[in-house]
Amino acid sequence: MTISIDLVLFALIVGFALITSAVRDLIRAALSLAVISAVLSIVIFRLGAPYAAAFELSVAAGLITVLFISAISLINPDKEAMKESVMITAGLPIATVAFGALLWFGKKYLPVLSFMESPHTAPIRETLWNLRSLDLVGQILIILTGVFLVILFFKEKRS
Amino acid sequence: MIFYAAALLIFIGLYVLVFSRNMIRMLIAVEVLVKGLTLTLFGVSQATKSQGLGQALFITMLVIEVIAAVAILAFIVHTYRLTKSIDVRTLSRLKG
Repeated sequence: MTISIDLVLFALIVGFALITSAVRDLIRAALSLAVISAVLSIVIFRLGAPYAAAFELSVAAGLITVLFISAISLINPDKEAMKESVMITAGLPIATVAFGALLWFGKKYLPVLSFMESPHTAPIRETLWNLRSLDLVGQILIILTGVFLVILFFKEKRS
Repeated sequence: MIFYAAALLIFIGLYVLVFSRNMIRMLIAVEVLVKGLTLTLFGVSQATKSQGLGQALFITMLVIEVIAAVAILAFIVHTYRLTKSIDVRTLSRLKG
């Protein structure tokens, strides 16, 4: 039963990834990306990572979608500009099915993955504040860099 | 199964990155690629029983993803105002 639910979730993710890439309207592509993030957050929750699932749902499915729709509305590209080549509209589903079949039937030739149990099994709170505390400094620097870049791009020229 | 889905997502993202010339669609392809990497991260963290470390790394990855998306979207809007196009080939017009 569990396997079948996972299978449905993974099929939804891959299906919406194909829709995101092949659909002509960019707004619909951004909305499909939001659906991928929402389904992915369910997968992450089922894998035992509830905090990450909440972040994925709120930030990736919410904030990034809003950013994409805002940018697309600012640009408002014409239909001709959104037209994609036949390599994407027709070629992508065929190539994905071919790649999937290649992986499925060629898996006996792939190396078998074996994992050792990690020594870092502490919960997220202790891991984030003790083991990966330097990451927080990096995150703050990245956010400041992003703010600086956005200011740089939208700065009005003084006449 | 989780690594199989992740491989398909990474393939879709790379394929669109190679064949599309629309800058916004290329950024969406990068997002799809990152979803595949996210699935890989959580697959490995579940296999090694280190969900705490996986979640901590994911939060860093999400921050980088959002900031990269914001900066690249700002760049695309800025470029569109200059060239009136979102075709990546028009970027060659910007060279000094």
